[in-house]
Amino acid sequence: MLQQTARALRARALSRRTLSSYSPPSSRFCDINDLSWQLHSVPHLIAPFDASMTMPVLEAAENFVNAHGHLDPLFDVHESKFEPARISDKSSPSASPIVLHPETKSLLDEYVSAGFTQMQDPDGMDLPYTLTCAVNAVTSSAFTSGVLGHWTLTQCAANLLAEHGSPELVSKYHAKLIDGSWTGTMALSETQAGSSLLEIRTKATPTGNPGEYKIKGAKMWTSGADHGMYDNVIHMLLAKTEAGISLFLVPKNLVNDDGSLGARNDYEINGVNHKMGCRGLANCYWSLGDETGGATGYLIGEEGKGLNCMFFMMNEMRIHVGIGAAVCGKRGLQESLTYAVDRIQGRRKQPNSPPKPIPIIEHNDVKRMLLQQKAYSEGAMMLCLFAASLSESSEKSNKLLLEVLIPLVKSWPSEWCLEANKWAIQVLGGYGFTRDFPLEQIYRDNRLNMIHEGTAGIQSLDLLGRKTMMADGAAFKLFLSRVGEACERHSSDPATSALSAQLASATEKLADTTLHLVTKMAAGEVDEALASSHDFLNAVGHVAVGWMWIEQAGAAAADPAYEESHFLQGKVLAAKYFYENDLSKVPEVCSRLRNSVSVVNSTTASHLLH
Amino acid sequence: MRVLVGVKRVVDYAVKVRVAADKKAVDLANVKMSMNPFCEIAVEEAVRLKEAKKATEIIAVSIGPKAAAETIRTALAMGCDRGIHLTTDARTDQELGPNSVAKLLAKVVEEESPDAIILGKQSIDGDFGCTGAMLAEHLKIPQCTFAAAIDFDAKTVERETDTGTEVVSFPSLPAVFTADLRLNEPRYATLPNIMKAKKKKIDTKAADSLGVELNEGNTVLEVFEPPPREAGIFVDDVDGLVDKLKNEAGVL
Repeated sequence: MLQQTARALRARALSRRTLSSYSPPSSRFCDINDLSWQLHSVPHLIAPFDASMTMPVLEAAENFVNAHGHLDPLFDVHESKFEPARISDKSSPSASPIVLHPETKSLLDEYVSAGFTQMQDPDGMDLPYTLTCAVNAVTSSAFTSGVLGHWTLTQCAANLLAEHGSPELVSKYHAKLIDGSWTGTMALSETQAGSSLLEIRTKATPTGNPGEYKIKGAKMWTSGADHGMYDNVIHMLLAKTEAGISLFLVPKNLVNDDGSLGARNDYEINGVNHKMGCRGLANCYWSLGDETGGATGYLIGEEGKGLNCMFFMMNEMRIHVGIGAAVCGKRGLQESLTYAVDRIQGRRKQPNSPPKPIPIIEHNDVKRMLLQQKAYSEGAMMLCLFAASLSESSEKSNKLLLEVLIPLVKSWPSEWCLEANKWAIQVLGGYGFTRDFPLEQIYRDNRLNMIHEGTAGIQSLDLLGRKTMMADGAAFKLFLSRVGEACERHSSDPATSALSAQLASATEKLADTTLHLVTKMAAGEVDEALASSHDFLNAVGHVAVGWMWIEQAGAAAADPAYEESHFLQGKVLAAKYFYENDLSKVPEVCSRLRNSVSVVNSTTASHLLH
Repeated sequence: MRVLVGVKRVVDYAVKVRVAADKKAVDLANVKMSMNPFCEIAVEEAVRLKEAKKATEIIAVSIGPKAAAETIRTALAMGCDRGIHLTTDARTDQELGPNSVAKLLAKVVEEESPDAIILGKQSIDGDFGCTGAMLAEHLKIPQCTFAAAIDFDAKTVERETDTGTEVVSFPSLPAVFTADLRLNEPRYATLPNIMKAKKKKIDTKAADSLGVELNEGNTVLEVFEPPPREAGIFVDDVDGLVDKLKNEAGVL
């Protein structure tokens, strides 16, 4: 409300508008014009869809972050607390030992009433998935603390339930997860089982009632496991039965057949993890079945097929992480641009320059830091939107290509947009290192993205150990040939011909190195080959993002407005910068992986422990 | 009651405008455009009347280029029922002035015969603030400008003045109301309503087909940036300050 009054007051103050030679984007948080351009103006990547809704929904998302974005630092500073002694009314269904900042619920309610949880509803708005990803990119740009993760996880839980749950479970739980009455979680990890879910120990035993089990054990790293804001929390939880790892729905409060809430389920929140970032979303450890010997859970899908059920969510969740990281990168760029335009410091070194101090955006090294952020964050976002578009396609070749892209989408933005955030802080110098500016929070929040939904290491093993050989190598060959086609397409335009030659040569070297590593693995030298997995991941990632940039540069240069548009010229310059600074490293890495024995593989644990 | 609201597409309030190279206008290329903030307040007031079951239909009218249809869509997403778009190539920030707009709106009112016409008190590009008053004059109906609160049952309007607010009564409807800042806080359209707005009807016709003389009788000679503020000076003591105020500023 306050924000809207401020909006009106600013309208009144317009006579005092200052004139500046730089025109900042309409929001400090995001850049919806760029998103719209990536969605509709870059041929060959995003499958075309009706463009008439794009700007209206992106603007609605921008309005949301402009109105509420100032709240996010509160969620960071006032981290969620575990205070079981403060529960006043234990009989209330929402009673919780987790204390969140009081603005959390009103923000989450606003998000629901603005309609953001209904975007994918097939009976409602039914927006294309790729567009909903762009909308999420806008809304999450202001909320890097992860507070909106309450609804993201709820959406995941609802999708999982709808896909695999029995009709009875769906009718009892699904609607309340969609309309913002209850929240949902993903409860997979345990203290001893993170990257390897095979080690989970939580056990489920049938009660005799069909589909009903008693569950005993403990869970770790559950985001949003409890909050005190809404009447119920619905966990999607993995536990072992005799048939193996299975998926269960575990409600905080049992639900009666008439939909009313019954007794509190037998589990206890034991505490919250004190996180480096993403503090808007309480992350809990909790135990089940301490009092009665088992919390009540309901089987989803078949016994022993729990991990298969989860795989259905995997691609979507990994695209989501990629977008979260790309958004942090872009937000860092926006924040450091805002500063660089206003900060007057230093004089130009070029002889005969005026002796006046200049805005630091005029200094070449600052431009370099900004360009680098642009190259990483807009390249990463293009890659994520491309993957989102592929995941909507039912075409077999698109599905195969997506398999190769998923580990890249999960890992490349999270590593390189974190690097972008490093340079964003650098632009602000000492101010960037303080909590008075948002960048240190963004950097801490972004740091999680290299870890959750499969660490960078897991992604690299997935790419080199599985995806290169998937379908007898057809998936990876398809990736290489699609990059080759892009090189071909852009080889004659003078604006992109040099980029095309460079990308073609890097791709050729990558193909050769991949064949070498795959042959090595086939010959039994698996450890030696996989020792290079992280280098390999980044080499493939750089080529993939190089592909994203040549498509953007080509589209920009072909636009009739190119000569007048600094936006379009900036795309070509960012592409050139990426090729000069990053893609140029690929051939060197490739020849090392091709020709040298891995230092890592020759190093043993005792060399490190000495 | 049927309500007609005017919505104008203007440079977004947050944009720092630049003078075009020919110094004849503000540069509109690649500039974010939005609904005039005071028009948003007018739309909000009409939508609240509909929610309170006092209004049965809300018609949003805009005069402007093709892209002004987006502004009408925004009004439809906020809750208006249908739109009327009078298209023109004339720049609505300076070429098509308030009198032309008032005359065009008068034509639409004659055709639609609404009970209440709610406009923003002024647009943030031209800043004239007289379209509402001129419209009422053309139609010879009551006007209540700078409204801070409108009560259709008591037929009163609380209006903003330089010294506070005053309450005035209006004799009858139809009447023209112009919305000031305190009238309400406009909502943002929700995503489902944005989708629904897509299906609502917008009637489009050329502004020059209404038989209205669109000539303001004045032209913009030059548009220029305000002179940069000059640096102040430090005085040594209070006597120095008094001396400057007395002898240089001439204010004492």
